Amino acid sequence: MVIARMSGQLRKLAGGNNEVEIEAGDVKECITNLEKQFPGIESRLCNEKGLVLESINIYVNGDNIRSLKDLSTKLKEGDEVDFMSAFAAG
Amino acid sequence: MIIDRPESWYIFIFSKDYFDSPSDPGSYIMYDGKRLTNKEYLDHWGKWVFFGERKELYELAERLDPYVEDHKIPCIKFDRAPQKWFDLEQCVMCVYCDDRQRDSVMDILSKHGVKTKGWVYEKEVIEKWLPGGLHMERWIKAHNLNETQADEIRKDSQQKYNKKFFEKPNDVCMGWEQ
Repeated sequence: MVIARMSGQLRKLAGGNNEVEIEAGDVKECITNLEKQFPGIESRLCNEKGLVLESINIYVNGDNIRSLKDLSTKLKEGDEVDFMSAFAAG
Repeated sequence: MIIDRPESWYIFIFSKDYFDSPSDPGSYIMYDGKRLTNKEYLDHWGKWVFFGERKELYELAERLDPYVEDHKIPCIKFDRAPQKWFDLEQCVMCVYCDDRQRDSVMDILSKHGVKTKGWVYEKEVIEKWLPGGLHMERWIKAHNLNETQADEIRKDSQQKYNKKFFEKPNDVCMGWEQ
């Protein structure tokens, strides 16, 4: 299980939850499994091609997945996946 | 020392000795006792970023102030109010340091209840404020600038960042006004 955390207004997408424990082997699977729990969340994080929206940053243990393997970034037990607005980094 | 000036969008925390060198605004940009060059700044400088309500971030700022004073954290800034033109509904706190000390800084933040782990390099932020960048274009749209005004802003931005960071990589970094 990994910890998926929503920051700022993204918390609304997860029913107001800050943290959710999710089973996932990579970031793509994490989003897929979040969608099962919170229908509609995926379209707020990714575009119709399945790519992360430019306005969203996803971090694995602090590192932006765009500097790792993007949605294919592997996850292991206890990893922390943070979702936040890309505008927060201004 | 918390610097809370109403005319500024941000509330800052610097150590008191930062104000001993008013003509050197980049004096806090250091790692291991040494000032960073512009190249090192772009390669290593960044921040832990997280959200909060203004009141809770102010309370956190008071708890983190001693670490800034002791130079365990170089500098902190947070929003006075949510940045609505970026559709943000909460304030953002940025805790700055060199990436080589980011783990020790996160240890401090974790001890004070911060759970979010989002590391952002300043190079990434600068690129977003260049012409065509995410922040630049959103800011232009949110402020309803016409195309002439927008082009002027874009040109100024390119010139400013080229001059500050890209043209002289080996110069001591002086930071940028925020």
